[in-house]
Amino acid sequence: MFIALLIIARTAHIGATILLAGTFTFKLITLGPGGGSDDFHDLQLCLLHLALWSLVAAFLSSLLWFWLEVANMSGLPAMRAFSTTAWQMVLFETKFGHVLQLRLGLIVLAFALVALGLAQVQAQHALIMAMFLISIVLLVSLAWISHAAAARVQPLGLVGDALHLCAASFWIGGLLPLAIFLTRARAPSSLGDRALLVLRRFSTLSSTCVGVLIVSGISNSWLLVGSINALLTTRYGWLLLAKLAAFGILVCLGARNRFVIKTKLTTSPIGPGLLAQLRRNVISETCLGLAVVTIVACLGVTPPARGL
Amino acid sequence: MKNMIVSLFLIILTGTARVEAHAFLKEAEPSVGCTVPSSPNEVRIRFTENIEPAFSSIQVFDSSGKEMDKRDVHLDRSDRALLHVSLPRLGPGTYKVVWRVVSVDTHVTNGNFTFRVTR
Repeated sequence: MFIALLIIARTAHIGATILLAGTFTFKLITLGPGGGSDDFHDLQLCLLHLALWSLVAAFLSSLLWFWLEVANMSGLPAMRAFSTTAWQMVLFETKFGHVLQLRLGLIVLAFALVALGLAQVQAQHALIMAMFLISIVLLVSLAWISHAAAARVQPLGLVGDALHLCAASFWIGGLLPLAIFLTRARAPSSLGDRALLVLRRFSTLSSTCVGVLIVSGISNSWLLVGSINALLTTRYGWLLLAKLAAFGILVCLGARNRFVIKTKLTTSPIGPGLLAQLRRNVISETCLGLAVVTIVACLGVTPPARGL
Repeated sequence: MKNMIVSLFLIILTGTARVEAHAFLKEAEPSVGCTVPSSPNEVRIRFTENIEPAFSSIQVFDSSGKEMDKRDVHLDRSDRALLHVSLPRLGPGTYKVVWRVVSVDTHVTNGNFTFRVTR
């Protein structure tokens, strides 16, 4: 039960962080600056609402994660975790607590900026840029409490972990915003006219991310598993294989979108049927992405094969 | 672009030390299962990774189960993976060392070993 709750907390927190960074990456890089159309404005508000809910999920899951870690580190029963000063020791005397303080501070700051964005103040672009930077720090700070951070001297292991998180976020975290865009991009409309450009940009970005994920994934796997035997005979290895299988299916679905559907889009007018098909594929990818994040959360509570 | 990717891969691969990710006992002084001729001043345990001192402990018990250490567990000043606990003068006998540590990635590990003092 305890481990299950820990996996739920980690899944929700990592997932929300990935979605947050993916949403702002989608807005800044894939969607780009828009015109003054109502469609575009509505889409931007929808993305800000998505970011807002991601922040709420990140905040609540961080509190759950903290509670569970107090019980885990102190050895106290979960229901009595706050009955002593153990929670203060975790918060102020451990690396996890220091990173959590930073993350909670950034979540509150990002929440205020999103609220400003929803209030439609001036300097929207500057706000989005600030929120994007905060979301990247939130993402990268996850690496500071990962398996890689526990090693004694290996700063570049942290770089590999941070790159892996960023690539996952830019691609998988951008899938839900893309699905929202495709839902709203009905031709003829200003968003419908933009669909091909957005798909091209997302396709290029996700291809780059797949490359970074493969390189950083091989590096992380070598560090944490160490041998083919460990990959095949340990629980950590099995989880990693499941993650690789899900990743392989995700890449295949992405490739299908890129080569088959996008070819149709360039050779024939964009019809609602084609966009709906693309949207279904993107939603399938999003579900698979959630499965990958859940496996990542399981890996986080499992002793790496190399340490056994 | 290809060169950049290959370079990045090599940098990450070669520049990264081995990761254990759960703190296990690497070496101890007195060492695991050893016999020492006289009472040691302290027990030192080096772990495979950096640990959180706030939630890490070493206890030393005699054969009757009485705690013998001075309850002053502390992290080494220059090595965040090395934990010390001081001992009073121990008489001849077998002593059990029980340790519990939390690594910086929040994982808890524990274990025990014995050593013998001959005089």
